[in-house]
Amino acid sequence: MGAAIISALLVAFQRRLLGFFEEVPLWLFGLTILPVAILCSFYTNENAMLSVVIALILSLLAAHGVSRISDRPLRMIVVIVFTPLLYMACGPLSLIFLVSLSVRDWKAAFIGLPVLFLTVLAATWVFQYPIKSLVGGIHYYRFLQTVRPEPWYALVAATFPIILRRFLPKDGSSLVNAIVVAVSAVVSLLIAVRPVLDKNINHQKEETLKYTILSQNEDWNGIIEAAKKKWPSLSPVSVACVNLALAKTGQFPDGLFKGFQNGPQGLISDKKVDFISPLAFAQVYWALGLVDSAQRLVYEAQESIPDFQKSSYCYKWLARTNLVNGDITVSEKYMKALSHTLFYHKWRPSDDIDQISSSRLTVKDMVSSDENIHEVLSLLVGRDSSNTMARDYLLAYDMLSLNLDGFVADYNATHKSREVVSRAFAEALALAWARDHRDFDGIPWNLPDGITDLCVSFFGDRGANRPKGAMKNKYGTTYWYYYFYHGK
Amino acid sequence: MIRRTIIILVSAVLLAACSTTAGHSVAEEPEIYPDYKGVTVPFGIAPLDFAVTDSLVNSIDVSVSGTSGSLRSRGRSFTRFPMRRWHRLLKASAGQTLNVAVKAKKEGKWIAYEPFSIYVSQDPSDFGLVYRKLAPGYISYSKMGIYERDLSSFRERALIENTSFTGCVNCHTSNRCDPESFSLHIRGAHGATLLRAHGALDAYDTKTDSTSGFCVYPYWHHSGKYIAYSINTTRQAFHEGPDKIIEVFDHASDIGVYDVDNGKLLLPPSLKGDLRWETFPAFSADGKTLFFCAAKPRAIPDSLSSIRYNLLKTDFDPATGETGKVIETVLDAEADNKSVSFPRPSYDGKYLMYTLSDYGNFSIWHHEADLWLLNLETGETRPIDKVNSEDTESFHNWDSSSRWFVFSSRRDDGLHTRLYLCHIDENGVCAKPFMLPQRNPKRYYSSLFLSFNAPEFVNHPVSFQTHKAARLINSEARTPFKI
Repeated sequence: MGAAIISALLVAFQRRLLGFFEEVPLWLFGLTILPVAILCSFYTNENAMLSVVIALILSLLAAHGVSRISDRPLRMIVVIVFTPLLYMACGPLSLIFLVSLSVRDWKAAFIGLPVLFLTVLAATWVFQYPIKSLVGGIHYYRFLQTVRPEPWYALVAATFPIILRRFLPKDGSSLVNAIVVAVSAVVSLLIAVRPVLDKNINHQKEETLKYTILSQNEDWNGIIEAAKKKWPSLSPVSVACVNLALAKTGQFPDGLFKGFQNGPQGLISDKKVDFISPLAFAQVYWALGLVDSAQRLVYEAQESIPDFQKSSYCYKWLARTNLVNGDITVSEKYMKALSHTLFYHKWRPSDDIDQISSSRLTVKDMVSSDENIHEVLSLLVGRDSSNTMARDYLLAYDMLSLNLDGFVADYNATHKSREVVSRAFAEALALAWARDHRDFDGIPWNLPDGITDLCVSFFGDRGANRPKGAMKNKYGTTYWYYYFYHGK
Repeated sequence: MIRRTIIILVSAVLLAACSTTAGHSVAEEPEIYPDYKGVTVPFGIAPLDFAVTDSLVNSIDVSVSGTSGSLRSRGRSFTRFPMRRWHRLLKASAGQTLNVAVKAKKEGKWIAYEPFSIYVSQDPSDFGLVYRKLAPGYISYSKMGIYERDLSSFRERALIENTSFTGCVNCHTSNRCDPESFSLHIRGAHGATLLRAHGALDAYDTKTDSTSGFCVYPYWHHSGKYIAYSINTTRQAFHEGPDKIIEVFDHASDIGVYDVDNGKLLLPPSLKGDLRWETFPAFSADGKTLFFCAAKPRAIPDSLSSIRYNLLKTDFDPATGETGKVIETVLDAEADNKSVSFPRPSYDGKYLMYTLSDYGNFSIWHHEADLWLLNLETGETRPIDKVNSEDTESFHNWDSSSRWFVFSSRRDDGLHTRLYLCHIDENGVCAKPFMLPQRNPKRYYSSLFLSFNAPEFVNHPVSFQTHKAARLINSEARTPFKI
């Protein structure tokens, strides 16, 4: 959806650029691809804001409109009035308004330049932003204090055909056409693929964003499918999304070691504070019944948005969590704000409110933090033994923390002795048993067939010092491999 | 003929206009937002515009009348009193009661409600307020700033916002409502304490080798020569339960007195150390006593709910800045399983207002927190029932005449703190407080997801060099506090 909107805007930008000329020779068409290519490159960065291309389109539209005014004194007045207004609406990229206007009326454009300068000067006194931001552009990039060069390269590239148009013949020779088009095409291609060539596209970040968005959309099957194609690596956020999807689709804990696990922080964590990570973990806290922590993480994510904007998605969550907490007025406030948004105006809290309300953790003076997650999960299970997700997460937390004693104690406390053990837990129990026993005779748990034999085989191979690669090939999807080779 | 037609038409229009709001009377007052019924206001206050909360009402006709005149406002659901006429009416009505008659058109019929009153006090309030506005968040922070609000109008001005630097604007304090002297703490990458004393603005590094942290909560000595600071090592924790959200607590805290003229931080041994956690210093009106809160140290966070602060006082010598020779307990709140925060002595020396909560010192996150008043002459202390609600009442400050005070409360929606102003007479009797007026208060407050924080009165507009302040914050240069 986002890509479609960007594409449509880029096409509109190029069309608007072309629309400024009465006739469009082929070489001019070729040149107008350049700024679009630069913007393409810019928009491979997830922090690039749509306002850049919108500002360019609006400024070109304004220039087009003003240039149609036939009365010159009136045109001058409009330029003087429009220049500050455009700066306020579009930022400093509105400079393209004056540049493109200069093709038709360079005197009017010339008058606009000091007006623009004075407007920027006035802005430094009126607005509390650093001068570099007011000159370089606010809200062109998500980080307010950062001024990226790409929008300015695009402006220069867009200016190039406009200025060149004045000097080159309207109907350039076929040779000129061919050369300009060929050079433009090659340069545009190079610019557009530059992020790929420079390895500027952060694939891990892209992966994290993909899993976070799937998680936000509660597309659990989509996450499982994506993980089947390529299991996430390194990012605890992506791993946490997969783990939650496994839990939501009934594949937890057995699916746990089908891919990379990032320790307990890939299961549940509130440590990382940015505008992406907490949203994924908030889903985990919410599903467990830790409503306050979910609310906190969503709030943290929203407050971490670098350009100080607010998020409809966060508002949706805050409406939910406040509703569960009984803070009806606050919840209604968020819902009222959402009713004015494009994508959430019909949204209402879903049916899971009642379920979460009944299973949520309520502990007087209980303080939740990353340091006491085990304690919190234990309390959740103690409060509601039917909260199977909390129970599984508690045991998985023990396993991922390499706390085998804790795992055995928690397993025994939460399961009946002759219950058939799920595979991942069975591997942990077998490992715990094998630490203190020579064989599996008398093991008190009902382990699935083949587990003990495989465990014996694992220790045999490990004792034979088989290389890590070989161990991974044979035991990579077992808890034992995670236990002995995780992080090594 | 034409003339007669015009007269008939005009008469018909006037008659129609008169008859539109004639309706049946009901023996009840209207439900309005904010609740301005029966409040006491200073005569210089901005128009108390309000909305009728009944969603079925689609037109209102409100008249405010007193012995000195009247004014009227019509609208869809909220008033918009004309500024000049409002001020003329209130000035002429000082010391008198105004009657507010509300008529509302509901389901096509006009209803006349029982009028309610607004008392216009003869006691003027200070020029305006300075407060911080920020999202009531956890660790991260978004846009925030320190703002000045002219109480006679709806004009709000940003003094400094964190868009001009990376950081968080924090506690700000002027000297007895005089903004010529102020202390403003900035946290984050460009952390500093901005201090303006004797007209000079500078950025200070208040952390010294002899102190455990930065100087946090300031209070000016009225002479302008000293600022008492608490030096806090503060942490946060988060609740898991519906009634509580955040806990802010100290791991350690001391009190120091900054000698402004000599640039030295005085650290009295009796107000420093691990035997007691001292915080929230406040000088008495005569400047010879230093009030503060103190608690016995406990294990954090396990014993969080048993940390309780008492109100203490000690001597202060304005000539030398020496303090801490004799320490006395003023209020033993711990004995009642309560905790005192934010002691604020009135500038006339009669009272001390404080917040009382169940435990801890960051009462803004405690729903049970209420405002209490201590009579410094008799020692009698009592909750201020007129201003307390079922939700949090917390940070408060006096105006320079000690006839008005401002406090923050979460009563509006349970989360976002709003400001309320209250009159207190010479006998310590408080009137019904009123919410800080806004032009369209229902829309303003319902769409504002920010809290008003740490309000204080200022007796004239703040002269603040915003760009110089931003430059100072962004620079690396800091003047160190010397010991």
